[in-house]
Amino acid sequence: MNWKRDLWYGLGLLALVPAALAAQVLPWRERYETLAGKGGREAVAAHGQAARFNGIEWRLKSITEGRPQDPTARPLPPRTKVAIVVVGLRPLTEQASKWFGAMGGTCKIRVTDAAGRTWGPSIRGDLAPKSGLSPSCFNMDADFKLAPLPVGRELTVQTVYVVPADAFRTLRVEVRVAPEPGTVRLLP
Amino acid sequence: MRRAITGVLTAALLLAGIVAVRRATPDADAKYAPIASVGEMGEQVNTAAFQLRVDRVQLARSVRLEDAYGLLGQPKSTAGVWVVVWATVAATTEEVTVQGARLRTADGAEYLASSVSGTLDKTALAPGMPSYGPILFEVPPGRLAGAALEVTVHSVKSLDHLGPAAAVDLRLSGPYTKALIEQAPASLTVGPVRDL
Repeated sequence: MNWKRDLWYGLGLLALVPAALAAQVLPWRERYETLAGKGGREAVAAHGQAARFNGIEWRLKSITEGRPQDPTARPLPPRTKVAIVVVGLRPLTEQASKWFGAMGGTCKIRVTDAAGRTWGPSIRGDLAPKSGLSPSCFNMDADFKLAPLPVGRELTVQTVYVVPADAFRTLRVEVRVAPEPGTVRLLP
Repeated sequence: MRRAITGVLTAALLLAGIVAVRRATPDADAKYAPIASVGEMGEQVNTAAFQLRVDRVQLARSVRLEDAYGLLGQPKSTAGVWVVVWATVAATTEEVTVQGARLRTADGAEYLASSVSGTLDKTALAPGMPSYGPILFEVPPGRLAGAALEVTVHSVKSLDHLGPAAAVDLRLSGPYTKALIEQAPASLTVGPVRDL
C-alpha cells in the first residue's frame, strides 16, 4: 500500500507549496501595492449616490467641461478637453473630522476613463473660473491654518483636468486616500 | 582502479556542471534589469508605460534651445559632441516622464540625457496626448558609432528594476557616424517639445 502513503505525501506537498509561496509573496505584494499607490480597501459610489469610507461621506457633485479663461494663455494640447470635477466630502465621525486638519491626512483625486487611463489634476490656474472651493481634501480656518472640519459640515473640492476629448464622456473619479491606504471610486 | 577513475570523472563532471551553472546564472543587474522592448528608428516601440518612436538623430558642436514662445537660449557648448535625438512619446495608462533616457555606446558605456531643461525627457506625458521633441546627449565623438538609445521612466537606475524600457538601435554605423561628425554644424537651434 505504498501508493496510498505516497498519495498523502503528494497531497501534502500540493497544499504546502502554494501556502509557502503565498506566505513569501503576499506580504511583498502588499508592500508593493502600498508603495505604488494601489491596494487597500475600496468604496464605490454609483451614479447619484454617496460612498462612505474612513468615516467620511464622499459624493461626486459634477463633472463639467471648462475652457481656458484667458484667451492669450497657452493653448490646450490638440484634441483635448478641460474637465472640472467637484466632489463633496462630509465627516461623519470625530476621527474623520480631525483627518481634514492633519498634515498626513491627504488625498489624491484623479479621473479615469472607460479604457482605464488616468489623469492627475492640472497645475494650470486658468482652466476654470475662480470658485473659492478647496483644491484638495484639507480644511483651513480663517488664518489659513489646517483645521478639523466639524462633523456634518461639507467640504467642496474642485479639481481640473486636461483629458483627451474621446475620454471626456466616460470619465469617473478616483480618490486615493492616505495615510491609511484606500480608494474611493465615484461614478458619474 | 576502475572505480577510482569513475569517481574522479564523476567529480570532474559535477564540478564542470557547477561552474557552468554559476556562469550561466545572471547577476543581480541582469536579473532585475528593466523589461525592454526593442525597436528600430522610425518604428513604434510599445512598453507597458509608454510608446516611443525615434524619428531622427542630429549632431552639433553647440546647441541653442528655442522655447515655446520662440525665444532662443544661450549657446551650449560641449567637450564632446551634442547628439540630438528627436522622438515622439505617449504615455499609455498613467502619466509618466521618460527621465531615464540614455545612450549606450558599443563599449557598454552609458550617457544619461543632458540636464538641459525643456527637452522631451523632462516633459510630463499624459495618456492620449503624445509629445514630439528633442532629447540631448553629450558624448565623446569617438564613442558614438554603434550607440543605441535606451529609455526608462526613472533617471535613477535602481528605481527601474523590472520596469518598462524601450531600446532603439540608432543605426549609427562606423562610416555613417564619421560622416555625421564631420558634417556636424558648429551651432544647431533645437526647437521645443510640441503636443501632437
